[in-house]
Amino acid sequence: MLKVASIHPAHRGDALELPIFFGSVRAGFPTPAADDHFETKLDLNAMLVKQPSATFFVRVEGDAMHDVGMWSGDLLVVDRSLTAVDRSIVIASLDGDLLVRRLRRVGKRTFLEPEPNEGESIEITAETNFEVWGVVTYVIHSLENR
Amino acid sequence: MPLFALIDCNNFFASCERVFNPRLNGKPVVVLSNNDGCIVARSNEAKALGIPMGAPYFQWRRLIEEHGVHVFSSNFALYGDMSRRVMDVLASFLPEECFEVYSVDEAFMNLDCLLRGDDYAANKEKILSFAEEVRRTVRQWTGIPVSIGIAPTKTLAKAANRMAKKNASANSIFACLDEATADTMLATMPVGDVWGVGRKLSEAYRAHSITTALDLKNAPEEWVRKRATVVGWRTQRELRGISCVRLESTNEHQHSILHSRSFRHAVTSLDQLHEAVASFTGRAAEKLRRLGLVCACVSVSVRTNRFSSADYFSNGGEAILPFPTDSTIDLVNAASMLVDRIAQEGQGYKKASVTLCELTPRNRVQTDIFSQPDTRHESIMHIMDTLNKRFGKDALHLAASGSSITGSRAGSHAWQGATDERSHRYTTHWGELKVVRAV
Repeated sequence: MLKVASIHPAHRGDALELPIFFGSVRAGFPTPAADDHFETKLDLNAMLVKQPSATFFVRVEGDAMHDVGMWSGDLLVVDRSLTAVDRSIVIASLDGDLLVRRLRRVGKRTFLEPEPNEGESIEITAETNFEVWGVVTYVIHSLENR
Repeated sequence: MPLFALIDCNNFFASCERVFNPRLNGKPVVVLSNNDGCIVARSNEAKALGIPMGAPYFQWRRLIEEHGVHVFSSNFALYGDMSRRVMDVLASFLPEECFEVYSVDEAFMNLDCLLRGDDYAANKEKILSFAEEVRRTVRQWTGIPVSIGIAPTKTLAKAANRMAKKNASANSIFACLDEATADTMLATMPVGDVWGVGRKLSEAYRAHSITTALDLKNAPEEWVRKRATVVGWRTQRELRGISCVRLESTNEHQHSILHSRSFRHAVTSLDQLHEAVASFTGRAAEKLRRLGLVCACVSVSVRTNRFSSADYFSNGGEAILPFPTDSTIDLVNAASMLVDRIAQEGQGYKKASVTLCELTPRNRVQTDIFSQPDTRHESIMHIMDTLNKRFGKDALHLAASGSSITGSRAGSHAWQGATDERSHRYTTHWGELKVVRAV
């Protein structure tokens, strides 16, 4: 427990001088009856993130998925609340590594394929330490400085 | 009658690290306290090596290096965010009044919301499948493994949770719905592990041959009441299946906010101490505003290194504010006056804490006509919070917190915590996102 050294009111008189500076704030143009037309703005967050507590952003390194429009440096929106199905683009936890690939389920066999699919496909076997980490729902690709 | 579930994240900090670094699965992991002094979290593999909770790191360093234990500094940005995610997922299963966040990694549910008074024992299957659904969802959505203990009282639910963790066949869920199951469970539990039984009390119990939780349950009531006061008696009744500790749903507000840190290097200048306390106050005030609360008192305490006993110095003080406030300006002002009162020049300070107390919801405050808050502060605080949210912590701060905090990089101040082995803040900083390979 704290030892109480003193109990006293904090005086307003010796308020700190604040080194925070504010420019003037311009009042908005008054719109007549603005309330009647009030709608919420379009929110990109709400569109890209359906389940905030299950959504993570990650960054891609490498171009092995460029056929689906995913390039090195792109930002991925990953929703862990979704269950991966055949053809989902997933983040795979594979032997301790996180990898982005297309999930293929062919009969009883499971593959992780790159896109373009002439690349090397990885087959999941009983010996592979594999788990779907999440399902990729969007790619955010910047067109600046490219 | 209530039926409680205690949901506890397994080795929470270590599990957070594993979500973003699956290579750590199955490997021993420890997390150190914020000044890298003590071990505050251990994976099961680290526990198996005999590394105790709270142990000073330097004492175990050799064993840690020999066994290749992975060591992390605390990454509170990550743990805080992951905790919020887990709690949000859990909260979505039940009405608000049936859910209580108990700590950063534990929550209680009142399952009676689900059963509406039905007999528990007859609904065992339903209860277990609900718990399994909760466990599976939290694991999938957040990556965090949880254990669930279910019982008619909070104390028994805690004990059941312990069983869920210890007993591999329990598959992380253990329901204790009848007295026979409770007795079997309590017989294997040391009395010191019972919720609410501290070290001193458990020594006193053991001196009277009460060694297990079952012994405590069966001890003469009169004796427990006399020896362990009403608190011990309440624990005993809870072990007997009579619920005495109710659910505190999350819409009841918090009673105090503490921000406290150890300094990596001793802080010797009073100016630096002032800066540190101002910065801690700023953080606490930010949280206060986020929770929609105001506070009527501030307390500050400082101390030197406890382990160099010769010149140990500690002191604290409390200031009652003329009106409840959530303004960083008012609070830093008060905290700063306290530092002047309690701190002595020439000491090497190792730790400082700021506590905001007497919290009330902002919208319930009655203003006193003689002392009124400066309403301009409200808009200043709003701007400060908005900018800091957008540009990172401390983008805008009071000059009292020191002028060299720029941006969000830690470590520019002697008083800031050491974060040498901290993992990336994967979920709160754009520059630190997890990189996934497309190869």
